[in-house]
Amino acid sequence: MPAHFQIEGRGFRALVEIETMVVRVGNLRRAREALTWAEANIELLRSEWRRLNQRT
Amino acid sequence: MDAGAPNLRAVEAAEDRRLLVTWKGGAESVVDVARHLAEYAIFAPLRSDDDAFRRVQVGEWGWCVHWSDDMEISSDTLWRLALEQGAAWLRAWRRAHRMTQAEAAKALGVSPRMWRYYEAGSHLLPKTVRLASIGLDAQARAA
Repeated sequence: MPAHFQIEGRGFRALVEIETMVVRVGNLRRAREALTWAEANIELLRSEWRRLNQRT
Repeated sequence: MDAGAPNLRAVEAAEDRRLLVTWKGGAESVVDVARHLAEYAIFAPLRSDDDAFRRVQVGEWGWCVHWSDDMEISSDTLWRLALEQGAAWLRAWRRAHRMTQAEAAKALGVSPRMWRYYEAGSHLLPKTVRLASIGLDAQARAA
């Protein structure tokens, strides 16, 4: 699975690829606002992905 | 677009680095996360500290289990591991009994088609089937 993040809420979640912002799993429903935030903060998402997914 | 895994209702730590996961629909899976914890540096605090591992909780909305803001495993990852491990467990059980899929399905009262799904990892291995296979072993030992 390429670098991704999740948008979560009651009864829905979307798994979104960072580089393309393509929804890979689930659906966005009321999460459009979160996706807008993600697009504006892609550098933060990239660095958090690297930090949290560092292999041993 | 994939609908993906269901979300989680409950989680508790089991033996070693296994989690007993209850899915939203009530199905239960035992998921071994030892390799996952070993693979990612972020989980280092959980590898040798049993008390820390036992403090696992379901995240808000049930889309992950977590130990802290940073240490979390998504329901999607747990679902994938549950499917893989359930399939591997059932296949190993059947092979240890030198049975074909059809024979094993008959022995446990499962349809051959469902057995294939369980071994292919396309359907979650139900707790009832897991316990039935253990039960058959116990019955054979008692006979």
